[in-house]
Amino acid sequence: MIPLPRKIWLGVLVALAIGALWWLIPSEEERIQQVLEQARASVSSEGKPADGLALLARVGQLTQCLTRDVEIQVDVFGGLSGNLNGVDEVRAAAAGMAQQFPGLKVRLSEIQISELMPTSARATLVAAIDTGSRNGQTAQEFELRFRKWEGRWYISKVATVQALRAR
Amino acid sequence: MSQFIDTPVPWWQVMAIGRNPRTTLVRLAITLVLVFVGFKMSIQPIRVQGISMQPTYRDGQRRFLNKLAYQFAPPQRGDVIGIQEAGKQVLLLKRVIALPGERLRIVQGTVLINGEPLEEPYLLPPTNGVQNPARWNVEELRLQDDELYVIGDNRSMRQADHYFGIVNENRIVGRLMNP
Repeated sequence: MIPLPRKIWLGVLVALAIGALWWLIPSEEERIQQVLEQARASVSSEGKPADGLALLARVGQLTQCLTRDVEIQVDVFGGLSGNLNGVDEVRAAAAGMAQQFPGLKVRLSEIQISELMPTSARATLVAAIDTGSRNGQTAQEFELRFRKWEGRWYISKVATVQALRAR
Repeated sequence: MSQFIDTPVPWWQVMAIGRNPRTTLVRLAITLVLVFVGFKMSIQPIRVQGISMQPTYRDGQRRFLNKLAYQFAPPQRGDVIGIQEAGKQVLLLKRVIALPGERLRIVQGTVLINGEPLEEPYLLPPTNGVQNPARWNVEELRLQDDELYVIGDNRSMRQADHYFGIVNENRIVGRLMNP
């Protein structure tokens, strides 16, 4: 075996270290996806207990993903519509929803992150929602805005995307 | 010295798997892949859900969308199109009644395009001379260059219960085949 010069070994080690760091440290898209997954998991009841401390913990997990001034605009044709402003309103709505739909399941797909800036980003996704009741399955497209604060991404706005509009 | 004897291949084998079965298998695999890819790229199967396209399409019917229909020609009035509602799997099925740049208005159920009444043979026959018994009304609007106006064929339902309006062309998935 031909001995390699020390410089080459060092170069290989440095390259490996950079590769490992690149692999271990998540990209900004992956960080945003993690926030989305945390929000999804906290909204999905999926048979988890919906009372007392467990409910508080789940709602707390959700609010950790949101900015204080989060804005949620929901307008589903023939279904839910309304606005929530601020994390307190979202907290109350999430607690009510968890109690109303104990079998709620939410699945996110077709997540597309765009307009990724150092402190802001936009994403569109499809949420498949199953309330656990008969005919309680629906899918809705959402647009989300994110803000970055002290190295962490937060959801600052959620709005339903309508395929058709009146004018 | 070796000698190859070319034994004749039975005719039934030639008919079934060709002279060289390996070549036939490769050709078959390539054909299947091409057909599958072509099908996925150009056709989307759909199942009609709901009553908004009655009487033309009924709840539960299965149809196909031609995803390449608008690659070379723009949508035409009367086309039934699939519109992306929630991702690529949940689509709306609606009929195009107004094209980009046109003025649209609905008065007591009669659709007016640039001020002229639109003939809509796909609707239910008029009852007591009224084409649209629910008498829908939409104030005049003008479509932008990348917009279409779409609506369902079921005009007997309440206007508030029917999802229709302006769609941006970039949400169109394809045209319904065999309308």
